[in-house]
Amino acid sequence: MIQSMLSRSGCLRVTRVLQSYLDGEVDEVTSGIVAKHLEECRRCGLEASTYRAIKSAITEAGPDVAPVDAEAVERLRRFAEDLAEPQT
Amino acid sequence: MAKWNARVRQPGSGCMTEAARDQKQRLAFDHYVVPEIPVLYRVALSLTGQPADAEDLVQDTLIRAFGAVDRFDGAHPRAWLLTILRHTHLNRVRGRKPVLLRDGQSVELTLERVGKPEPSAEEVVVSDLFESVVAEALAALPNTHREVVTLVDINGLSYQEAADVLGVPRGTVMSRLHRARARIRTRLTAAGLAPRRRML
Repeated sequence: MIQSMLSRSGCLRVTRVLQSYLDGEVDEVTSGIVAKHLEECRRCGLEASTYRAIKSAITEAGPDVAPVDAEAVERLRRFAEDLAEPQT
Repeated sequence: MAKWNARVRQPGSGCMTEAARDQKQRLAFDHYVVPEIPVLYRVALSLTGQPADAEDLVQDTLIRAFGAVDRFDGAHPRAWLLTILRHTHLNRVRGRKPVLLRDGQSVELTLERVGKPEPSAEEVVVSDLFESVVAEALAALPNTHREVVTLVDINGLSYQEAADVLGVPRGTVMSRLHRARARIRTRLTAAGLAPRRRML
Protein backbone atom coordinates (compact mmCIF):
# COMPACT_ATOMS: atom_id res chain seq x y z
CA MET A 1 0.00 0.00 0.00
CA ILE A 2 2.74 2.45 1.05
CA GLN A 3 4.84 1.25 -1.87
CA SER A 4 1.96 1.96 -4.23
CA MET A 5 1.44 5.46 -2.76
CA LEU A 6 5.15 6.21 -3.08
CA SER A 7 5.10 4.98 -6.65
CA ARG A 8 2.07 7.13 -7.49
CA SER A 9 3.78 10.12 -5.94
CA GLY A 10 6.81 9.45 -8.15
CA CYS A 11 4.55 9.10 -11.19
CA LEU A 12 2.90 12.43 -10.40
CA ARG A 13 6.25 14.21 -10.15
CA VAL A 14 7.50 12.62 -13.35
CA THR A 15 4.29 13.47 -15.21
CA ARG A 16 4.77 17.13 -14.28
CA VAL A 17 8.21 17.31 -15.87
CA LEU A 18 7.91 14.62 -18.53
CA GLN A 19 7.61 16.90 -21.57
CA SER A 20 10.38 19.20 -20.34
CA TYR A 21 12.51 16.09 -19.83
CA LEU A 22 11.83 14.88 -23.37
CA ASP A 23 12.76 18.34 -24.67
CA GLY A 24 16.06 18.26 -22.76
CA GLU A 25 14.94 21.21 -20.63
CA VAL A 26 15.49 19.79 -17.14
CA ASP A 27 18.66 19.80 -15.08
CA GLU A 28 20.95 16.80 -14.86
CA VAL A 29 19.70 15.62 -11.48
CA THR A 30 16.04 15.74 -12.53
CA SER A 31 16.91 14.07 -15.80
CA GLY A 32 18.54 11.17 -13.94
CA ILE A 33 15.55 10.75 -11.63
CA VAL A 34 13.07 10.77 -14.51
CA ALA A 35 15.15 8.36 -16.61
CA LYS A 36 15.35 5.90 -13.72
CA HIS A 37 11.61 6.16 -13.05
CA LEU A 38 10.78 5.58 -16.71
CA GLU A 39 12.83 2.40 -16.68
CA GLU A 40 10.98 1.10 -13.63
CA CYS A 41 7.41 2.27 -14.27
CA ARG A 42 5.70 0.72 -17.25
CA ARG A 43 2.82 3.23 -17.30
CA CYS A 44 5.10 6.26 -17.22
CA GLY A 45 7.33 4.59 -19.78
CA LEU A 46 4.31 4.21 -22.06
CA GLU A 47 3.41 7.86 -21.46
CA ALA A 48 6.94 8.90 -22.43
CA SER A 49 6.81 6.73 -25.56
CA THR A 50 3.55 8.39 -26.58
CA TYR A 51 4.98 11.89 -26.28
CA ARG A 52 8.20 10.86 -28.01
CA ALA A 53 6.13 9.57 -30.93
CA ILE A 54 4.12 12.81 -31.03
CA LYS A 55 7.27 14.93 -30.99
CA SER A 56 8.79 12.79 -33.71
CA ALA A 57 5.66 13.02 -35.88
CA ILE A 58 5.62 16.81 -35.48
CA THR A 59 9.24 16.96 -36.55
CA GLU A 60 8.39 14.76 -39.57
CA ALA A 61 5.75 17.33 -40.49
CA GLY A 62 8.42 20.03 -40.32
CA PRO A 63 9.44 20.35 -43.95
CA ASP A 64 5.81 20.88 -44.90
CA VAL A 65 5.11 23.35 -42.13
CA ALA A 66 8.30 25.33 -42.54
CA PRO A 67 10.15 24.44 -45.71
CA VAL A 68 13.63 25.87 -45.84
CA ASP A 69 14.80 27.10 -49.18
CA ALA A 70 18.54 26.44 -49.41
CA GLU A 71 18.85 29.07 -52.12
CA ALA A 72 17.24 31.67 -49.89
CA VAL A 73 19.70 30.82 -47.11
CA GLU A 74 22.57 31.14 -49.59
CA ARG A 75 21.27 34.51 -50.80
CA LEU A 76 21.14 35.65 -47.19
CA ARG A 77 24.72 34.49 -46.60
CA ARG A 78 25.84 36.54 -49.60
CA PHE A 79 23.83 39.49 -48.32
CA ALA A 80 25.63 39.16 -44.98
CA GLU A 81 29.01 38.99 -46.74
CA ASP A 82 28.22 42.15 -48.69
CA LEU A 83 27.08 43.83 -45.50
CA ALA A 84 30.36 43.06 -43.77
CA GLU A 85 32.45 43.95 -46.82
CA PRO A 86 34.78 46.89 -46.07
CA GLN A 87 33.42 50.07 -47.64
CA THR A 88 35.76 51.53 -50.23
CA MET B 1 30.81 30.69 -24.30
CA ALA B 2 34.05 32.57 -24.04
CA LYS B 3 33.59 36.21 -24.65
CA TRP B 4 34.92 36.21 -28.17
CA ASN B 5 34.87 40.00 -28.27
CA ALA B 6 37.42 39.97 -25.49
CA ARG B 7 39.86 38.22 -27.82
CA VAL B 8 39.59 40.88 -30.46
CA ARG B 9 39.48 43.75 -27.98
CA GLN B 10 42.87 45.30 -27.96
CA PRO B 11 44.70 47.03 -25.15
CA GLY B 12 43.93 50.70 -25.20
CA SER B 13 40.72 50.11 -27.13
CA GLY B 14 39.69 53.66 -26.33
CA CYS B 15 42.31 54.69 -28.87
CA MET B 16 41.24 52.05 -31.40
CA THR B 17 41.29 53.42 -34.90
CA GLU B 18 38.17 53.49 -37.00
CA ALA B 19 39.64 50.81 -39.27
CA ALA B 20 40.32 48.57 -36.28
CA ARG B 21 36.75 49.06 -35.04
CA ASP B 22 35.38 48.17 -38.46
CA GLN B 23 37.56 45.08 -38.53
CA LYS B 24 36.34 44.05 -35.08
CA GLN B 25 32.74 44.60 -36.15
CA ARG B 26 33.17 42.42 -39.24
CA LEU B 27 34.87 39.64 -37.31
CA ALA B 28 32.19 39.64 -34.63
CA PHE B 29 29.48 39.63 -37.30
CA ASP B 30 31.07 36.64 -39.07
CA HIS B 31 31.54 34.83 -35.79
CA TYR B 32 28.20 35.41 -34.07
CA VAL B 33 25.68 36.23 -36.78
CA VAL B 34 26.47 34.43 -40.04
CA PRO B 35 26.31 30.88 -38.57
CA GLU B 36 22.78 31.61 -37.31
CA ILE B 37 21.34 32.60 -40.70
CA PRO B 38 19.60 29.24 -41.36
CA VAL B 39 17.92 29.36 -37.93
CA LEU B 40 16.94 32.99 -38.45
CA TYR B 41 15.41 32.12 -41.80
CA ARG B 42 13.44 29.18 -40.42
CA VAL B 43 12.10 31.25 -37.54
CA ALA B 44 11.33 34.15 -39.89
CA LEU B 45 9.41 31.73 -42.07
CA SER B 46 7.43 30.60 -39.05
CA LEU B 47 6.63 34.19 -38.14
CA THR B 48 5.73 35.47 -41.59
CA GLY B 49 4.42 32.34 -43.33
CA GLN B 50 5.82 33.66 -46.64
CA PRO B 51 9.30 32.90 -48.02
CA ALA B 52 9.76 36.35 -49.57
CA ASP B 53 8.69 38.10 -46.36
CA ALA B 54 10.96 35.80 -44.36
CA GLU B 55 13.94 36.69 -46.51
CA ASP B 56 13.22 40.41 -46.19
CA LEU B 57 12.81 40.03 -42.44
CA VAL B 58 16.15 38.26 -42.10
CA GLN B 59 17.86 40.90 -44.25
CA ASP B 60 16.52 43.66 -41.99
CA THR B 61 17.59 41.63 -38.96
CA LEU B 62 21.10 41.22 -40.38
CA ILE B 63 21.37 44.96 -40.98
CA ARG B 64 20.35 45.69 -37.39
CA ALA B 65 22.63 42.99 -36.02
CA PHE B 66 25.56 44.35 -38.01
CA GLY B 67 24.96 47.79 -36.57
CA ALA B 68 24.79 46.47 -33.02
CA VAL B 69 27.31 43.63 -33.00
CA ASP B 70 30.17 45.77 -31.71
CA ARG B 71 28.12 46.35 -28.54
CA PHE B 72 27.15 42.67 -28.16
CA ASP B 73 28.85 41.00 -25.21
CA GLY B 74 29.16 37.58 -26.87
CA ALA B 75 26.79 35.73 -24.54
CA HIS B 76 23.96 33.73 -26.17
CA PRO B 77 24.21 35.02 -29.73
CA ARG B 78 21.16 33.09 -30.92
CA ALA B 79 18.96 34.55 -28.20
CA TRP B 80 20.31 38.02 -28.99
CA LEU B 81 19.61 37.58 -32.71
CA LEU B 82 16.15 36.13 -32.15
CA THR B 83 15.27 39.13 -30.01
CA ILE B 84 16.40 41.44 -32.83
CA LEU B 85 14.39 39.33 -35.27
CA ARG B 86 11.27 39.64 -33.12
CA HIS B 87 11.60 43.42 -32.75
CA THR B 88 12.22 43.77 -36.47
CA HIS B 89 9.21 41.61 -37.24
CA LEU B 90 6.98 43.61 -34.90
CA ASN B 91 8.11 46.84 -36.53
CA ARG B 92 7.44 45.44 -39.97
CA VAL B 93 3.96 44.10 -39.37
CA ARG B 94 2.95 46.98 -37.06
CA GLY B 95 0.79 45.01 -34.74
CA ARG B 96 -0.43 42.35 -37.14
CA LYS B 97 -0.35 38.94 -35.50
CA PRO B 98 2.12 36.44 -36.93
CA VAL B 99 0.58 33.57 -38.85
CA LEU B 100 2.18 30.17 -39.09
CA LEU B 101 -0.26 28.44 -41.37
CA ARG B 102 -3.18 29.79 -43.31
CA ASP B 103 -6.52 28.86 -41.73
CA GLY B 104 -7.71 25.51 -42.90
CA GLN B 105 -4.37 24.69 -44.45
CA SER B 106 -3.63 21.04 -43.97
CA VAL B 107 -0.28 19.41 -43.79
CA GLU B 108 0.60 16.50 -46.04
CA LEU B 109 2.99 14.03 -44.58
CA THR B 110 5.55 11.85 -46.21
CA LEU B 111 6.96 8.76 -44.63
CA GLU B 112 10.66 8.26 -45.07
CA ARG B 113 12.71 5.87 -43.03
CA VAL B 114 16.37 5.59 -43.82
CA GLY B 115 18.59 3.06 -42.16
CA LYS B 116 15.76 1.35 -40.31
CA PRO B 117 14.38 -2.16 -40.83
CA GLU B 118 11.67 -2.32 -43.47
CA PRO B 119 8.35 -1.85 -41.63
CA SER B 120 5.48 -4.24 -42.24
CA ALA B 121 2.47 -3.09 -44.27
CA GLU B 122 0.44 -2.83 -41.06
CA GLU B 123 3.14 -0.77 -39.37
CA VAL B 124 3.26 1.59 -42.34
CA VAL B 125 -0.51 2.07 -42.28
CA VAL B 126 -0.60 2.69 -38.51
CA SER B 127 2.42 4.98 -38.64
CA ASP B 128 1.04 6.88 -41.61
CA LEU B 129 -2.28 7.26 -39.83
CA PHE B 130 -0.55 8.37 -36.62
CA GLU B 131 1.38 11.06 -38.46
CA SER B 132 -1.69 12.18 -40.39
CA VAL B 133 -3.65 12.64 -37.18
CA VAL B 134 -0.74 14.55 -35.64
CA ALA B 135 -0.52 16.80 -38.70
CA GLU B 136 -4.26 17.49 -38.67
CA ALA B 137 -4.18 18.18 -34.94
CA LEU B 138 -1.22 20.49 -35.45
CA ALA B 139 -3.07 22.43 -38.14
CA ALA B 140 -6.12 22.72 -35.87
CA LEU B 141 -4.21 24.22 -32.95
CA PRO B 142 -4.72 27.88 -32.07
CA ASN B 143 -2.00 30.02 -33.66
CA THR B 144 -0.42 30.84 -30.30
CA HIS B 145 0.04 27.14 -29.58
CA ARG B 146 1.07 26.12 -33.08
CA GLU B 147 3.76 28.77 -33.31
CA VAL B 148 5.38 27.46 -30.12
CA VAL B 149 5.27 23.87 -31.39
CA THR B 150 6.80 25.02 -34.68
CA LEU B 151 9.59 26.93 -32.99
CA VAL B 152 10.52 24.16 -30.56
CA ASP B 153 9.74 20.88 -32.31
CA ILE B 154 10.37 21.87 -35.91
CA ASN B 155 12.90 24.67 -35.70
CA GLY B 156 14.67 23.13 -32.72
CA LEU B 157 14.71 26.21 -30.50
CA SER B 158 15.02 25.89 -26.74
CA TYR B 159 12.17 27.11 -24.53
CA GLN B 160 14.12 30.28 -23.76
CA GLU B 161 14.93 30.93 -27.42
CA ALA B 162 11.26 30.50 -28.35
CA ALA B 163 10.37 32.87 -25.52
CA ASP B 164 12.82 35.43 -26.92
CA VAL B 165 11.26 35.17 -30.37
CA LEU B 166 7.72 35.54 -29.08
CA GLY B 167 8.46 38.07 -26.36
CA VAL B 168 6.75 35.98 -23.68
CA PRO B 169 8.07 34.37 -20.49
CA ARG B 170 9.68 30.93 -20.72
CA GLY B 171 6.85 29.53 -18.59
CA THR B 172 4.31 30.65 -21.18
CA VAL B 173 6.21 28.81 -23.91
CA MET B 174 6.29 25.72 -21.73
CA SER B 175 2.58 25.75 -20.89
CA ARG B 176 1.50 26.44 -24.49
CA LEU B 177 3.77 23.71 -25.81
CA HIS B 178 2.67 21.14 -23.27
CA ARG B 179 -1.01 21.97 -23.78
CA ALA B 180 -0.57 21.78 -27.55
CA ARG B 181 0.95 18.32 -27.36
CA ALA B 182 -1.73 17.24 -24.90
CA ARG B 183 -4.37 18.33 -27.45
CA ILE B 184 -2.61 16.34 -30.14
CA ARG B 185 -2.50 13.39 -27.81
CA THR B 186 -6.25 13.69 -27.12
CA ARG B 187 -6.90 13.44 -30.88
CA LEU B 188 -4.66 10.42 -31.13
CA THR B 189 -6.48 8.76 -28.24
CA ALA B 190 -9.84 9.47 -29.88
CA ALA B 191 -8.51 7.81 -33.06
CA GLY B 192 -7.40 4.78 -31.05
CA LEU B 193 -3.74 5.52 -31.79
CA ALA B 194 -2.58 6.40 -28.27
CA PRO B 195 -3.40 5.03 -24.82
CA ARG B 196 -5.87 6.90 -22.66
CA ARG B 197 -4.29 9.35 -20.25
CA ARG B 198 -4.02 7.66 -16.92
CA MET B 199 -5.53 9.22 -13.81
CA LEU B 200 -3.19 9.62 -10.88
